[in-house]
Amino acid sequence: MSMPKSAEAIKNNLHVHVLESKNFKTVTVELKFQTLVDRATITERNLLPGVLRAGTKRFPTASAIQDELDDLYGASLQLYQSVSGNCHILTVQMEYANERFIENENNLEENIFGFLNELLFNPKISQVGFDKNTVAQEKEKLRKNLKASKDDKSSYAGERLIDEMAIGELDSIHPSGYLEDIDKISETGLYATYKNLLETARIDVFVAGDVNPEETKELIGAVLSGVPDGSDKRLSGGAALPSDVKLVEKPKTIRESDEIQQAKLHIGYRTQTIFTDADFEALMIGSMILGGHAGSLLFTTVREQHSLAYYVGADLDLYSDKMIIFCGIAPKDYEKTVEIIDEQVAILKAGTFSDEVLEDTKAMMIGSYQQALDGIAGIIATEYQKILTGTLKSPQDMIEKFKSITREDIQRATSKLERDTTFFLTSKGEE
Amino acid sequence: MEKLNFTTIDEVVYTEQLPNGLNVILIPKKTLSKTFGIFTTDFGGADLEFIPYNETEAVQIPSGTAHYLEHKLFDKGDHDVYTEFGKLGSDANAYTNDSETSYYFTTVGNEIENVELLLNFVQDPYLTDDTVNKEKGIISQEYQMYADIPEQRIYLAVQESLFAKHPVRHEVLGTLDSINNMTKEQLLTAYETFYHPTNMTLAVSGNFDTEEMMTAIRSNQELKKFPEIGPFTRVYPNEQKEVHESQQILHMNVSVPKMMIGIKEYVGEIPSKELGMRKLLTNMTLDYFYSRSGTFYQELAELELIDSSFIYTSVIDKTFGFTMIGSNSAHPELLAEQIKKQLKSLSSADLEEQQFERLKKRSIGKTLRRMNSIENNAQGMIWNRNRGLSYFETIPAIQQLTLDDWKTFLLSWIDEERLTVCTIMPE
Repeated sequence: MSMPKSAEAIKNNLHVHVLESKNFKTVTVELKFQTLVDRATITERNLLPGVLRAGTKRFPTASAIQDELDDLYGASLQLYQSVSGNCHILTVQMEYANERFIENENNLEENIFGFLNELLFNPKISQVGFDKNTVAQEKEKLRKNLKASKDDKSSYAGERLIDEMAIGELDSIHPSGYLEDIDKISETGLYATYKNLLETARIDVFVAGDVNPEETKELIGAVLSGVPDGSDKRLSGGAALPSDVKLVEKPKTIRESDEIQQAKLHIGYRTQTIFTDADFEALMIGSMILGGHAGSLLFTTVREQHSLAYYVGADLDLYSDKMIIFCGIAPKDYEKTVEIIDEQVAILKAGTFSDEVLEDTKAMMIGSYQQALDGIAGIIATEYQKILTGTLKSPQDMIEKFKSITREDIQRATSKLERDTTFFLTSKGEE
Repeated sequence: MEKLNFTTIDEVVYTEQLPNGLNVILIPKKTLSKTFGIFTTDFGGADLEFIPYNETEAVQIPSGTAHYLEHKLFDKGDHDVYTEFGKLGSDANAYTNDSETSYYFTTVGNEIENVELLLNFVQDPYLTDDTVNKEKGIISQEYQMYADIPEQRIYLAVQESLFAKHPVRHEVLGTLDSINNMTKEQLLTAYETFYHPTNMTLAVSGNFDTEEMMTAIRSNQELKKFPEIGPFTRVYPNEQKEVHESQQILHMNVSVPKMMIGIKEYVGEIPSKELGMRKLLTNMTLDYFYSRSGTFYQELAELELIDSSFIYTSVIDKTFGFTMIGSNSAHPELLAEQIKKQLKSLSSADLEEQQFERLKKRSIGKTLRRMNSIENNAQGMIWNRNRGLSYFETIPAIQQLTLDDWKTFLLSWIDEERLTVCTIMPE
């Protein structure tokens, strides 16, 4: 794979990244609209993918859109929204066949961008805003989703932990929106939110696959004509990261109960270290030693040695100052599990883990970065990470840094870990 | 080593059957940095009865045996195999489904060492009463975790309702009882038959030297002794054509009811060619009518009978086939009725050439996306070869399908007596 050149701005708000690679039978395009996450609009933002997917002026129904996608040789289309740290991102992704593998096809790339332009900038609208029925349907869908998400106990416990731990921080805003906001959303208000998104978002376009960079850039400039002119509200690099890190004032424990057989234990730690800090790579390795693989401290003790859990692990949020330990255990094993977790965190901080786990973890982390670069999704994600974090730190730079990490580096980085909030969802009668 | 050149899709595959019976498939891709290796036995949760080579009596093993063995092969008493892969900088894992158990790794570098480790740990079981007993707690926790997930429960309920006797009706994990009563002897009985090289395939895809890799695999196998055995016989009970139960209602702690319709596709063993064609046509049909843009999906959405949890899935295999369509729904009964009506209308649907051509294009696009992944390609090669099909010729197979094939399939696809409705209601 040839390494991408730095992005070129076609307009001052449209950054184009062409990532050439001959490894794939398809070409992937991703458009990313990035703004700060906002409690006031998060629920509306959740409706946009479905509303845009429902129809455009030229393709007014979902089946008309599908017919067009089929005619584009079975191209796939995905719209989704996500939150990374402080940022909300609407992504539109298309993947289409490399013309080499199909018969009688030559304007596919141009037609794909034409389709994207139609989908994003010519949605089906009425006099007052988006199509009324579509908005009503999407509202209903979101309402059902939010109700049903309570049935996934592990993600519920994860969300409750962040609610309690990150009070007042942007990452405590629920990425999937809020039930109580849904009723007041109108087709007019939603349309205004969409217009506002186009005008204020930073827009990045990624094209990855076996394509000609010059032709592709020209094509985007000519065909993606609907991109509005930029304004000075648009985010520059690094907007996803918190501006300051928090200390723990007083650790707290929250217990809830529900009709479940397996209890969920989630523990949040403050790291006092963010992506751009020199210690971050050491913290990443430390978190992985603690609970990132089957040879990790938590897996080998909580699961293998004490048979307390089927799953247990630690996750470091790349875009904040938090690390979360999670596991599913029998309700009666709470004290024992917490005790073992504390012991293992202490071993991590003291640096008394084995050489073996240190070397294994480094090798795995390096391997996983190299592997990510073998896939289209990984190539685009690592490139976008640079924008979200505002660094030029490439995956290759990080791989070099991982190689040089020592036990002392990990000790220094993880000694800053502080337990903040413990959330325990247990079975009724056990609380 | 036989070289298969699939020029239209830009893939070259090398295959060889070793003297001990092991099938090897190599799919080199030198432009990548990673390598994926997978070692699969044609033995899954639905293989519960067989007549070993040279014997006449059928042997039965408890449900959950394949999955239990999968867990135990990683355990070497004083250490865990995961950590050995870790030392090589790779990730290893395994899965068991109804028809196969697979062990796999992904690595960058040390490709040959990883393949050797994969072969060695699977071919050298360490089973003692102690290690077998130790696993009971872990697998029971795994069982409990799935038991709390409504999506899992309803999937299992459908399988149970569809099949009266075929072991695919059982949960791959087994029951809490079968897990807690598992013995070393039972695991070894299964191991001896199903983990013999004649019943296994090794596939490696990614960045490695083909000659060196094949040489290393050959020498690794030459050093090992396996009893010389011939074929064993799998025993399946005579399964009835119609469903076992036409409906099942469960109660769980859910906020919205869940409904899933099951279609029992066929019973008995079906020939490769039919299997390949049925798999394509079933998936194409489901995609056409029930994907987000499909007419049937749209109808259900407009009637507000479904939400975004709507799902369909299909498993088409040698001795069993089933399809599931379902969703969370405030009106599970109306939803079931509506989907049944839609499915039944298909035998007389008015379908045109243009629709089918579009559908074929869609299916080809999807196949190309899937073939971007070396993991999919290794797994797909094994699955298809074990069933007499050619994975990298999926696109030509799609191109050859005709509108008449589709119409013929739809004419007999649905039959009331092969449908079941499972529902989960709030407690």
